Amino acid sequence: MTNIKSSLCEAFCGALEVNKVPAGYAVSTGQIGPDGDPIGFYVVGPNDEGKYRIQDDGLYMCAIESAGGDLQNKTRLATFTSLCDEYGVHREEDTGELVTAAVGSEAIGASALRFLSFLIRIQDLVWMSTERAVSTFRDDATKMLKDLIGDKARIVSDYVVSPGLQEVPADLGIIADGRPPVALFFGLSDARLMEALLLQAWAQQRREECAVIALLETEGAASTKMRQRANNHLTAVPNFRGEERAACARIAREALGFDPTLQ
Amino acid sequence: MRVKAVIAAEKQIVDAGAWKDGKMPNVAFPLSKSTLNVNANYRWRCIHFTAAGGSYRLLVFYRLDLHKCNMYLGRHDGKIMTVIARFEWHGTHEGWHFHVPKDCDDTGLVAGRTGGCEKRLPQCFEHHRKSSFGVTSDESAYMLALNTFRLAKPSKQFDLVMQ
Repeated sequence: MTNIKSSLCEAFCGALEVNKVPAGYAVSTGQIGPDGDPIGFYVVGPNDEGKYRIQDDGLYMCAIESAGGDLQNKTRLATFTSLCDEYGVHREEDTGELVTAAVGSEAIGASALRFLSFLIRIQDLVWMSTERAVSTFRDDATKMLKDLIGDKARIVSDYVVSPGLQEVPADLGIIADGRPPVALFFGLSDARLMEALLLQAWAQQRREECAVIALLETEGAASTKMRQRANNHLTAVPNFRGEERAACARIAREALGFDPTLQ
Repeated sequence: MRVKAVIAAEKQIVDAGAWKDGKMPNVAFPLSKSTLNVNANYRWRCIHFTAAGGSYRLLVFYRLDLHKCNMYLGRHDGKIMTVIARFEWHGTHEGWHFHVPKDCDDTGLVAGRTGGCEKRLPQCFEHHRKSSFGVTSDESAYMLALNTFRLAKPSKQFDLVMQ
């Protein structure tokens, strides 16, 4: 029992480092953050009432956002807000610093543990950007397409190419004047890619002019066989994650006839 | 181009910038995909230089109350800026260290973001050759930036951490 306890103590506290800084104390933990550094925080104080608050340096959220967990996305923003409420943390509007309420010295330990849990949990915002969370992927891709295309074309959801093809609506339609419409499918599974192939085949059969594109979130979003079929038959099958802008530019180019990123 | 090659290359300072207070405007270090929130608690300065046919900005920002100093090396890729290396000190875990792309080239970099520099030199919990903060003023932060990124002839006092 004693060995287990010391082993756990070593694991939890062995890497703990506390340094005195002018504002208070700088604390480093054994947990690694999104940018490869140990997660750390500051115990700032005492204030006039002899209390301390726990905070970051104002850059932790920048690291999260830079790793792909930006809060422009509604799903991520809602998650972030909910975690802030749960852990009693708020983000200072002017500095971007994540801070807790001020507590007495006897409560610093508990407050610091809660703050550390919060920092670890908000790393999930990055995970949400790479995990196959349907709404996050759709939100990110749709927002980027709208940013790229602006008012040069109309972007509609659940797009039906023509009345005869209403059985297979695309996730998005991009319609520019004088150009064939683009029917965009978010390729989240083999089944979705199959629907894209079906629309392509039916449109060809009915001589409906349109471009059918499947946007994959990652290379592994569909089976190799299905990706091969999609690559061979669809207009384009770009990969989103890691090359978000380039993937959306490929779609925009098909819709507009030119690359809006070069304008 | 490898980060080391940029640091080693002969450079021409286009604009040495000046130390400023207050929240850094995005235009000072324009990132298209994320906002670098250098808040009003930091002193910051942006040095614009050219090297090996490329155009770069070195953003230096620090705050003494938390013993924190960051230097971000950004490359202009057309209108987009890409952060290719970061040199940092955190009061929470002492030791100057670099963050560079995994293969020290463009692998993993994302234009418009500060992320993508996944390799930490030296690694966490390993020995750091430069283990004292050393930043006490605008002057010392500037000198450290010049010497680390070889914008001036290196002095013994601020030797490079990364070999």
